[in-house]
Amino acid sequence: MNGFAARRRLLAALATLPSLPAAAQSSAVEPQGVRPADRRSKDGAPGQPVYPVVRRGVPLVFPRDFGAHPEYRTEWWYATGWLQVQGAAQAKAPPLGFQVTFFRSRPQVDTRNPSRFAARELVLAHIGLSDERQRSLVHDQRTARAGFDLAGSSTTDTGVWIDDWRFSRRPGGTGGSRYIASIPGNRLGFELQLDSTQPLLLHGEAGFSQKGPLERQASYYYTQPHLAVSGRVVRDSTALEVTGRAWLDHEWSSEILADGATGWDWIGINLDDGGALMAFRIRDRDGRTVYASGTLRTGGGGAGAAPRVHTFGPRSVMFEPQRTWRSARTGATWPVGMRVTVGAGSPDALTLDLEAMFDDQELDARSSTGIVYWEGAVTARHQGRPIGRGYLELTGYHTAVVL
Amino acid sequence: MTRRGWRTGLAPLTAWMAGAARASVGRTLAVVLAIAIGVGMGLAVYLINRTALDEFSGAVQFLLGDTDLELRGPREGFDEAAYARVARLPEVAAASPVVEVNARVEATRAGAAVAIRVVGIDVLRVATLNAGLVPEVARTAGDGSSNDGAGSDRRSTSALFDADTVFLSPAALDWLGVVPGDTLQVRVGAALKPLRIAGTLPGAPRGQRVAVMDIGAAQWQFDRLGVLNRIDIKLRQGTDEARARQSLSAVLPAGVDIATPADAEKRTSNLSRAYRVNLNVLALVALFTGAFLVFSTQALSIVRRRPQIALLRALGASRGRITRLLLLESLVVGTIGAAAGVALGIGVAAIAIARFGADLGGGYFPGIEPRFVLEPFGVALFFMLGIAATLAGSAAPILAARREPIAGGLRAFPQALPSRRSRAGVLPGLLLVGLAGVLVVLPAWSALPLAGYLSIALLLVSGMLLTPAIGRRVFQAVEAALRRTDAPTWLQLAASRARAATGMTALALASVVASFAVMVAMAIMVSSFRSSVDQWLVSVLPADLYLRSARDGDTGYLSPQDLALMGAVPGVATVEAMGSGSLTLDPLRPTVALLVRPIDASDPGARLPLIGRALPAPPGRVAIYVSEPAARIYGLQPGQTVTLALGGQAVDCFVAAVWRDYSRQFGAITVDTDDYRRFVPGARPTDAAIWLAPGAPAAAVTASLAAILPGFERFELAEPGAIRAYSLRIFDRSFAITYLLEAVAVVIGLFGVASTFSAEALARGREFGVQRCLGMTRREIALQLAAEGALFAALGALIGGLLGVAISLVLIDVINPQSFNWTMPLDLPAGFLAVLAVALVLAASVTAVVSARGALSVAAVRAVRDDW
Repeated sequence: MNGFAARRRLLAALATLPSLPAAAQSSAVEPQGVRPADRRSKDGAPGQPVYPVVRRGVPLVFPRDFGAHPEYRTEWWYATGWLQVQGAAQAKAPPLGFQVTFFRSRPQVDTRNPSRFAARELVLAHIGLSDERQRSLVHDQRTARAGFDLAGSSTTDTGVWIDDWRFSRRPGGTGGSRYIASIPGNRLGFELQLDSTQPLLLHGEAGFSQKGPLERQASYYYTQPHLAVSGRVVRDSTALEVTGRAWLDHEWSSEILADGATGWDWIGINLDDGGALMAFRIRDRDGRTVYASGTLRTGGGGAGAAPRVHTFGPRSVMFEPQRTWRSARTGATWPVGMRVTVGAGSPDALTLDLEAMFDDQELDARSSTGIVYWEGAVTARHQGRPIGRGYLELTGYHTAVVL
Repeated sequence: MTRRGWRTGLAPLTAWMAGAARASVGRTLAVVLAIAIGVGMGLAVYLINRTALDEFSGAVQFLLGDTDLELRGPREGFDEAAYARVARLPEVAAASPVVEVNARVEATRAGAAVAIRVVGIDVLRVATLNAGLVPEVARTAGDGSSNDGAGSDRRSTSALFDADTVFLSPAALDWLGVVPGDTLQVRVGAALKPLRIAGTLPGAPRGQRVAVMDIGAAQWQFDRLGVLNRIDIKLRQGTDEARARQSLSAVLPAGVDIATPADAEKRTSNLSRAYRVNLNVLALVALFTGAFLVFSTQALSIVRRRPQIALLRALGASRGRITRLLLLESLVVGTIGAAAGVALGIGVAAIAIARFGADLGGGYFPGIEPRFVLEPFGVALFFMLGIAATLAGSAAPILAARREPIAGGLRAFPQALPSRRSRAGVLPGLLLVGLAGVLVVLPAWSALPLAGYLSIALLLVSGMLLTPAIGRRVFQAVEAALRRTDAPTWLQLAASRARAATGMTALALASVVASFAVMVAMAIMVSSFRSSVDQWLVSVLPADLYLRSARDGDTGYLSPQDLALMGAVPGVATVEAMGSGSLTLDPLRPTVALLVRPIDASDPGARLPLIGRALPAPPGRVAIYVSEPAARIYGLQPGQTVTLALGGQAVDCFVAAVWRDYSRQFGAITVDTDDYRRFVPGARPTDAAIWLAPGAPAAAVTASLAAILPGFERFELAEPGAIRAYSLRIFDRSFAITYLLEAVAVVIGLFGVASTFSAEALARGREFGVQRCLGMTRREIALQLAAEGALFAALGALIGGLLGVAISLVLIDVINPQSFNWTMPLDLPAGFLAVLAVALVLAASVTAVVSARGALSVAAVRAVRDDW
């Protein structure tokens, strides 16, 4: 699921910082019900940052909540999608998978430091392109501390940037959103416009998305599915005109990871009928599910029925590996063919068989962070029939993700 | 006979000659020693310098990494806003901001207190430019024992950005005797701040003592909020450097210069260049003296073996064969000497580096753990130089032997080389003096006083060339004068002998002249320098007490409260705060010190040892007072206007006066505190000069200061006398190496005297026999020899002394200003020189007698009979 993806990518993005582990969990999180006066007693020192706890029942307010939440420990805007290359010569070109992700993280540094360089906020960006023809995942990353307007995030609307890499939102037509992903680059670059075609999809209880057995293991989480994409992808100095369909997650939290978790599986699928499905499960050492959850918004089935939102709890979300692929590079075995069932046992049950665009969408970041993960474009089939496309993320199959 | 036959047939004779060389084992040893000392000193200096430079360029490479251009501001920093402007330039691919301090660390195992370079970096930005500076968080024992894995991760995460963590290179850990997990106490102002050592710098090369911390933390902890010292940048591929420089200068504040890493290396190498060159020249002087000793010894040994050589010739050995034989002999001696010199040089260099550091206490290379590196090229070079010097020294005697007719050599008793016409050297000698005179007025060659050194060499050679002629004139006069008196026979004889000196004795005399001249010149130079420094120290320390916030590093300072408290202490009349910064007037040169202190524009001489009078600054111009080295290096004259970067602004400054300065070789510029504050309001003083009220005892005031000032125990309070004594101690230490080389020169000179006199004594065995037969006692002959030695030495001392004075003038008025850019008045240590001269004369007398001991002990009759 995305929370872990974020942390894992934080690790990957901090490739140049061999010792910087993910730190999305902490006992320094403000315990619920503790009076402000008691806050310092927990971790002692004055100047210790206090991270707000994600609470049930706090309504998300837009456009404010499109923007950043600097008090929280981690936050990300995570766009994935499928692209089709335009132009006559490219008519038969296979689709591309893309990923543009921006994170912000609030490190545990002394809040009293008045220096403009004090690392109050780190901004990370990770971009990737899955090319079926080349059967390769190309990626790039940046990390910077916020400040001097060189990197930062906006608290009024979506706007997050590192140097000339920028992801931002402005109001689109009819109350919707237009996101701009401007990622200049010669080896890999994006210049994409993502227009909303549907309302936001709030996960969990109106955006309060529980991530573990404990109440405080939660995030605020909403999705903008079915974004209409147009723009350009640059690959090895060649610009390709593209259109496509994308998925945008925005999630922020202070504490997520449950004890004993070693990895996770996550999906975000734009269904062809206009529906959207998000599901995740967190696994322990023995592959058992520690926690799971999912959200399905139906597409209305073309019959004019109003879309309905189903929220699934831990017992009604299942991930079943169907086919594995063994990486010669790392020796890890990945369940690249996955069957996901939500609403198991209910009339709304939906079973999807996920099929990778190609098997080797593995990202080997051992040299930098010691982590190997799989992040790939997938097609979702229902009873053999393709019904949607999106992204699957797998972690903890090489070695346990030690956070 | 065939060639082969010759070889076998002459083998015994060759051995015989070698035996003759063995017989004079003492002299051979002296030659070996002389060459060894020359080679050893040269190699040691070379190796020490190479070590220092290697380490230093290693430091530059380490600190700059893959940087294309380094934007370096003054020591006190520049406005951090420039960082955003630079980073946004289209030409700039990556920009890494750096705060750099030299932090004084207290109470470490390395000693009472040391200063370490602390580099404040943005680890996320530096990584693309210089991965070597990326720290590694250490997992301390405490973390591992807990199974709260998340807890330790949390610690390591924040450690990189924490406000109180620091990461030390392995060399720094070693040096300070600390391990990750320990706490460093660093001085900031008067206070101590604890910094936790959270890990190491795995990318730091060996020997580099450096600490890294987060840039935001460094700004906060070291009170450098808002300022940077450096921005390292990487240019976008294909960017034209000249265009990038243009764009950069447009967005940089005044005083931030743009340099490539090569420039930075050049600048650091320039730091010690003059010092290194001067040491190298001293080493070459030692080698030159060694070659000279080879010359005299070889000449002597050939004289002694003339019969053997003649016999070999008579037996059919060709001239070439003899020449080869003699060359082989000096080659063997030279090789042994050079090898010994290499061993000596390596040993001296290793010990010196371990003991004093690679700059021999010169203070040019801080922050580096000296590590001796054996450099094969240097070893080979000085080894070959040693052999070359030996061969060069042997060349003239060997050529003379080659010219010798067989019949002359076969005469039974060895004779001295025939006396050459004493006028022979006069013309070339005078020519060389003239040439030396021309050379001294030449300017420095790429900031090195090479012409000056050449003129010294010419003066030495010309002195040696002119000595025989002068000696003949002088001894003629002495002989004539003695004849008019009723001086004892031995004295009269000594004078006559001296006048009729052979080529050999002329050589000995020349060697005395050369070594004494070098010694006198050095003594005069050092004495002039020392007395100038002494007087200068008196004039630059006018106050009664001096308080310094920290001797090492640049993180100590005095707060306004500290100064106010000091001013309120009973018995204190005035407190003047002094601070400093740096200015870059030329990116390729070391920075100029900027000294900030109260200067009364109407009487700057009250605080500064002015050279000449001060000019009043025109309105609107900031008056600056330029040290002599700064004035000489940058061609600044009183009355001139120069633009300086003060607080990031280009300010028109008026050079009001030049003052004498012996402590900052690369120049200093003094500016009045009030003037400086207009541009840098937050400037922090580091030192205070305290004037006491009349009659107030210094001890009582010190006690009050100690009671009132917080952190007083970390300050240094000293009276001018103590500072003077301390400074002179440092002065003497830095001249220790020159004293050593002086001593070497004199010892080599005395070796020359000894070898000459023993050769003379041998050659004159018959003469002594005749004198004995004529009724002279052995004692009288000994006295005669002593007198001869004394006469020679006296003349040598006279000519050498004069030559030494001339050379010292070149050293003081040409070499010193060109190397170090300061001038000094001549101070002739007459008493010391007189003692030296007397010592030389006595030593020569004793040497003469002792060397002739063997010849004198031969029975008179045998000595006389031997010849016929």
